[in-house]
Amino acid sequence: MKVRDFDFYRAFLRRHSGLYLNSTQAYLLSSKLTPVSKKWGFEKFDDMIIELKSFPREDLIFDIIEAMSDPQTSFFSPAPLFQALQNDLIPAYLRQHKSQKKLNIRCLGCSTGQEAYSLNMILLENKMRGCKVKIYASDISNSAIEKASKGIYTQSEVQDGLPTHLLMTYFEQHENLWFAKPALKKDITFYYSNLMDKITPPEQYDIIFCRNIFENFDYNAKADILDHLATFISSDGYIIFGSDENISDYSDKYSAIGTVPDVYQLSLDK
Amino acid sequence: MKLCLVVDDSHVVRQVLCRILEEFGLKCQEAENGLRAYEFCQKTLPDIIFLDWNMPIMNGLECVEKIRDLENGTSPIIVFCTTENDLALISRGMKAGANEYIMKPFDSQVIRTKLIQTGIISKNLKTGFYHEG
Repeated sequence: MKVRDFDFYRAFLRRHSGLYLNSTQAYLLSSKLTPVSKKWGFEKFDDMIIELKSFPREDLIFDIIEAMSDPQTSFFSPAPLFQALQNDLIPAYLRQHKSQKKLNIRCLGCSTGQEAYSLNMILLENKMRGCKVKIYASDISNSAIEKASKGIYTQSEVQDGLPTHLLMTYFEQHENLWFAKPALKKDITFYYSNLMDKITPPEQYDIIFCRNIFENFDYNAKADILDHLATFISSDGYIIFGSDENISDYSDKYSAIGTVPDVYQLSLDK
Repeated sequence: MKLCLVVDDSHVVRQVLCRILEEFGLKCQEAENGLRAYEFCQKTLPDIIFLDWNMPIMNGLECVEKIRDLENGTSPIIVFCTTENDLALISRGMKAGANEYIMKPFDSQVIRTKLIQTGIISKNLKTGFYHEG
């Protein structure tokens, strides 16, 4: 790929999605975008760039962003974090908020839905009477959102982290596929959203999940998103980041709770 | 060191499972059918048992029931590891006393997660290594 073309894609992705490519990732571009170029019927890979520079169609932009974002995800992952959420953090939080009528949860970069469904299973297992749970889960990939909303998973997907007793309770089997039951789906809304845009809906959230979404963002974009997110967390709510994010290098608004890695709360003095 | 009993009539499956489990620091013993596994448990109760369903002489289902009837027989974690993937059979296996259920084919990540979730191993959050739970 020509350096000029790589620079074009880099600027293009950054403008439309906030994704940041470094110069060693040129190979990623051609391997991930060649299928898109074929799907759209461009004779040569280079022809796609001509359209993008002139009259890019919105659907084509979507396809490109989607191809560049990574949908790898599994249930109750990572296991040690979810164990802490399940056995400790969430039950304790619910006890302290017994009289709360509504619990808001936000999953950013929810991919194909496993994280949101896992959280909802923990909440359903903790049965809170009189408390309405709402999980807002979004991703930049439309095909991931489509799969998440259907809630249909293969055997190897459910096997990857989903405890068997929860599989039996919350899923139905048809042939070799596993379907999330309506009771598991009804509290979750899956929708498209871009991290570069404002957080929707503008609620106060008890828990925000944003694991592994910052990987391709540059310093300023990540710092901006972190500052923006901080206004949506309730005062003693939790925000959960991916490992190795070095949050404190980007924002002073969060403090690690310490007992469980990757789990943060708002800093008291900010 | 935690003791694991791997029960399967296929020598190859036992070998693969043992290799994965030993990587997580478990000591493995093998049995080729349910009866052998039951006899083993009468002498020594392992910490965890990986159990196939369809085996000659005594199948996995009968084996779970018999192990659970032993004195202290409720203590081992029992994980079915079988090609049977029908929800009705999974329920039957769990009702008979299994703690977890793995549908073949599987990989080492599936095994690792089950070992963490059943408390057999845990991740040292400082070093990132797995050790006995």
